Amino acid sequence: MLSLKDKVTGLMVFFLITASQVGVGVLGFQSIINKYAGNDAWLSVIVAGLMVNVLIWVMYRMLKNDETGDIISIHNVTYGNWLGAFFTILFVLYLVLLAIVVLQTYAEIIQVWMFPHLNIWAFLLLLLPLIYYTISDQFRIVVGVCFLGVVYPASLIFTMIFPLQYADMNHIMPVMDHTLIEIVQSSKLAIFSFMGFSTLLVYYPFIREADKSQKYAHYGNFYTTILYVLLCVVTFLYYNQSELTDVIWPTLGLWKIIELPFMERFEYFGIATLFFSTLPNVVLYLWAATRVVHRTFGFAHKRIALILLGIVFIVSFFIEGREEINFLNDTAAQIGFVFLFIYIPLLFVLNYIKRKVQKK
Amino acid sequence: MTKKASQKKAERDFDRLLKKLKTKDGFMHYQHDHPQGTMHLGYLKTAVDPEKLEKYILPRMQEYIYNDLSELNQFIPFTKTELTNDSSQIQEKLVNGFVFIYMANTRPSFLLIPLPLDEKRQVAIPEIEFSVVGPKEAFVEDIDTNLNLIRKRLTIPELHVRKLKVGTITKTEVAVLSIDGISDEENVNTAIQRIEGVDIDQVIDSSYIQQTIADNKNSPFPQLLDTERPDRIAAVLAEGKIAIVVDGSPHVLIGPTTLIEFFSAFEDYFLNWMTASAFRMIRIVAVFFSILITPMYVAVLTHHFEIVPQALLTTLINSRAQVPFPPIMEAILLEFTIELLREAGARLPTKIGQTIGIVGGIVVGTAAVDAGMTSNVLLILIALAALGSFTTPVYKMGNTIRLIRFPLLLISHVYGMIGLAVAIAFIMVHLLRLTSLGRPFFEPIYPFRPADFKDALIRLPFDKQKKRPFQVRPDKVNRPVGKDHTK
Repeated sequence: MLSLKDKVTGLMVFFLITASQVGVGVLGFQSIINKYAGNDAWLSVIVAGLMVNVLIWVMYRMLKNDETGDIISIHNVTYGNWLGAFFTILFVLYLVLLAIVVLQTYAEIIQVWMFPHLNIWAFLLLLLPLIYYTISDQFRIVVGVCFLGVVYPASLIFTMIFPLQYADMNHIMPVMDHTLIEIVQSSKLAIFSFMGFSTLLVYYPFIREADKSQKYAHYGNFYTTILYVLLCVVTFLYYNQSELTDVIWPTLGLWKIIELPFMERFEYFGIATLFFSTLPNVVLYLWAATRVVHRTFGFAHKRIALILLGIVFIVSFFIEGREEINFLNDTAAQIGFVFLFIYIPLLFVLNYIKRKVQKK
Repeated sequence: MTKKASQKKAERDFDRLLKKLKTKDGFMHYQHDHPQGTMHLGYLKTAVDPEKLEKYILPRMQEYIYNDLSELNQFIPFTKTELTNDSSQIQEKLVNGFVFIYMANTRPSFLLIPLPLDEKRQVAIPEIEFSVVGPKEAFVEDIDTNLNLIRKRLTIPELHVRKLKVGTITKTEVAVLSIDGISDEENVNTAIQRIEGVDIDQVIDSSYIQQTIADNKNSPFPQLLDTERPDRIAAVLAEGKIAIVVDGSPHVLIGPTTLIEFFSAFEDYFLNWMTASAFRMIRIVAVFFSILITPMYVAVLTHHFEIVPQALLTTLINSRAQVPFPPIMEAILLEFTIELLREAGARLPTKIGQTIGIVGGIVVGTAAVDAGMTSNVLLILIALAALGSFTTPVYKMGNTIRLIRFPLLLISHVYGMIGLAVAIAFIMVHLLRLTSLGRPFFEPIYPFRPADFKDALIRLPFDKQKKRPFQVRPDKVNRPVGKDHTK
């Protein structure tokens, strides 16, 4: 089994949760979530954050009760080996899909903003070796990438000060002029930016004194929520709502405000820095997928990683254009929503019942 | 066999040995008549200290009264003499600086006296890690002198020296030093195990050991720190690290080490903590600058000149107007020139090296700009980057920093800032994967240990350093602290 050397401290859960949530989404989620709640959408972010907190609590309850403490064994206990393996494979597909979505979205931003003639497959040829290099070794390397992927891009928070000089309070006032239903509807859209924390179901056994690490998971989610709310409020203060519908990546627009004596067009630098925030997403999803396949079928970890990266490459090869990426994003959001809010609670209940029955 | 017959055989054996030895270059042989029979004394001229031989051995052999070699041995004022009948080892002993005395008809028939010629360099001022303040001793090539220099600073019984022999031909003596009760046994065992596993025929310098016991041999980063300062070794031993001393090398290895330790000069500990911290920060900024500035120049000028503000753009364009090359060629040309200068300076004798530096730096640089081969701005940037890489206190790390610039340059040319970000991520992951004697190399940044930052990017005052670095997993975490005089 896992030795103490493979494990990471409880504090790292903070970074794992945050790193799995924050990514390319920060560039554009503001113009998506205001669909229903408009200028009150920042409240939706808070609602979404709270809902995710509940889900983290549910996940921890399940994991603490389980002997091995990961989704494979939960599945096996709940459904038996065969059906359990089936659901596990679905989970792997979900993770791989998330990884592809993140990669595609980031590649699209680079294409639109920096290199219009960039071949995505050529860019992936550069990136995939890096991902393989990260996930083929111990888990602590992945955690290290997550840690630095939270700490270093956190410096970008200060860039939010610059757009405030053009802030207009009228853009965000009056607060709460949307109904609660609208806010909750928007929060459903906001959830997509919080996704990825479900990898907790895989890396839980890699945490020292894992049952005591729950508070860090909540802190991590709390940090993400605050970050999003801050970004959302700054965006809403700067843009008015009708402008926002035309802008795909509002954050890049905010960065354009920044002018330093040696640097204009800060968004180039921002996109490059955001790479360090995107990488942990992909790395964590693909590591989790690899780990799950390894646990289920027992193939060598490195070989699975290679195969999964191959799949990512081939699938990415066939995705082209804004529509397809949008479709992919929407599908992933839908699947993720179903997974988090329908499947996880269901699994929790089933698991609970199964345990009670087995005890008797 | 009768006594006489056995004596005859012994004499025949000795004659054969003598014949063989006489074919050797520099073999010296004296005979001396003694009531018991003829005595023979032999040694290799180049291996033996002639002064000691003439002063202590020959007079005693000729004038003192004794009946056999064991009696003679009592008069000899040297320890580690050997009495033996076995003539098979003689050759090897002679090479190691022994003198043999043979006496026929007695047992034991050989007396071996060690009189090796010690050609040692005097302990001198550290040249590579020179410091204005602080001790001025540096290691030399002799392992015993080096161990003595360390022992002088750590006169405690807990200092544990374990000696090993490495190299199938050179049989170099390697000593692993640690302080019992402070350093983790696991680190010591890892080091010893790896040194024992070294399977090469010659160990000429400690860098042979450094490379062969490295955790990842395919890494440009050195994973053990080397130093020529005994004071530094004493200090890190007290922190719970271990030192590896190799015979024939004036550089002693330290492990487990961290990336940041490579950017701390030992002088940092002799200065006031604020000054020291500031200097250390300057070095770290210099390293980042040195690695990133030319790739950024290439990335920005090739792909994203929109980043440059208008005022600065004018300067850049003016300076680049005459240059016919793309930024990448320009940069590689200049980087290559700098490397050429460095390499030429390193290979030439000091005085000529200085001339080369002036010729290269001023003449070639100015001429290159005048001729329109490169831009002024890039020349400044590259010169600064080169300076930055030379601020690294550890020479080998400085080389690494200069090396990793080149792949970054190429990728910036192809993918601009994004490529640069990916390449930096590559280096980051590589550093995350690296270990030193099995301990994480990127500590205290990751694994994140806030306590170890007291002596990383900055150096806090000594009374704030009450705990030994967590990275080496010391047995005793707390350092003994004296009384606080301010209270």
